[in-house]
Amino acid sequence: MIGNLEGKTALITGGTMGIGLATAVALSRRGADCAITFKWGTADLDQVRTAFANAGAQQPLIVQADVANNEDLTLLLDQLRERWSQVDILVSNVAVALVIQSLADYSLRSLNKSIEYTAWPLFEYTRRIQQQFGKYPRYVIGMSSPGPDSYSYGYDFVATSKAVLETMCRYMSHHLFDEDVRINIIRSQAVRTQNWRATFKGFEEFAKKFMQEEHFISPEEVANVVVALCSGYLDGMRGQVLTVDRGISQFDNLIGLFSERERLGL
Amino acid sequence: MEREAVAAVVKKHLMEIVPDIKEADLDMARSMKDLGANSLDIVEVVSCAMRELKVKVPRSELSKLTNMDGLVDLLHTSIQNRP
Repeated sequence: MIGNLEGKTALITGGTMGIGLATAVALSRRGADCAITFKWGTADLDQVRTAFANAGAQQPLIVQADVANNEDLTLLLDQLRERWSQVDILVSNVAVALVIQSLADYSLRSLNKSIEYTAWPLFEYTRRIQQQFGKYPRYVIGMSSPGPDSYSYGYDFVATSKAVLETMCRYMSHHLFDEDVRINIIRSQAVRTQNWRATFKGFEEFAKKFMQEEHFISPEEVANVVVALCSGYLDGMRGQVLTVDRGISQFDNLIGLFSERERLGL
Repeated sequence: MEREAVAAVVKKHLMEIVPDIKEADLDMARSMKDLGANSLDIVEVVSCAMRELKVKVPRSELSKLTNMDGLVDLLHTSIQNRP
C-alpha cells in the first residue's frame, strides 16, 4: 500500500484541531504511531479521541506542550524517548500571529511572538529531536499559506511569519544536505478551520456570492499531501514549498471574477 | 485559592507579556486592551493564567468579559468549581 507507515513515529504540533488533527488522523490511519501536542485550554480531548476512533485510527499520545515553551519541549521529548527510539516524522503545524487592522497595530514584540510561534518551532523541534534521539526526523514538514505572496486581510504578521518559515525550510535543507532528513513546506489555501474563521470573520458568507464550495480546501486534502511526502515516493524533494489549492490561486483575482461575470450576474 | 491570589496571577502575566504596563497602572476595572495589550497579548495572558491556575475556561465565556475584574472572577469561580 502506498503510504503504509506501519512502525513509523510521527509528532504533530497543534494536532488537536484543524489541519493538525486531520494530519495526525491520516498518518495514524496508515499505521504511524502519533503524538500530538496542544496548548493549555485549547483542546477538547474527548472530541480529539472521537475523531481518531471514527476514522478507525490508532489513538495518539496527547501531550500538553506550548510550542514556544522550551520546558514543555523538554518534557515532551522525555515522554517520547520513553516510548520511541526515534521520531520519523515531524509536522510543525502551529501558527499563532497577531491579526492586524492597521499600521497602528504593528509592534515588534508581537511580530517576534508571531515568528516565535509560527516559524521558529520548525527549527527548534528539529534540532532538539536530533539532540534527544541522535538523529533527525526523516521527514520534517511545516504548514504555510499563500500569505507571503498575496494579500490577505489582517494577515501582515501571519504572512511575515510564514515567509520566515518558508525561508528557514530552504536554508535548513541546505545546511542538512548530508543528513537523512527531508524538510518541505505545504502551503494550503482557504481551509475552513476554527482559526481561519476567526481570522476572516464574515468572509465565508461573502465568498459564497462569488465562489463555489470547491473554492475551499479540506483539511484532509492537506493531510493527504503530508502522507504523500512521508511515503518515500517523494524523497527527491527537499526544501520545497508545495501549494495545495486545486489550482485556485491562479484565478482567485479580479480578472478571474471578470471572466465569470455572466455566470455570477456581476 | 483566594480571589486576590488569582488577581495576582493575572497581573503578573500581564506585566510579563506587556512590559510597558506598570503595576501602578493596573486598574482591574479596566480592560487589558485599554491598558495597551493587543489581542495576541490578551490570549497569552489568559492562557498563561489558566495554565498556572490549572483551570480551563471556554472561549465563549472569555469573549463576554469586559474588564480584568471579570476575568479574575471567572477564573476564581472556575477554581471553586473544579472537580
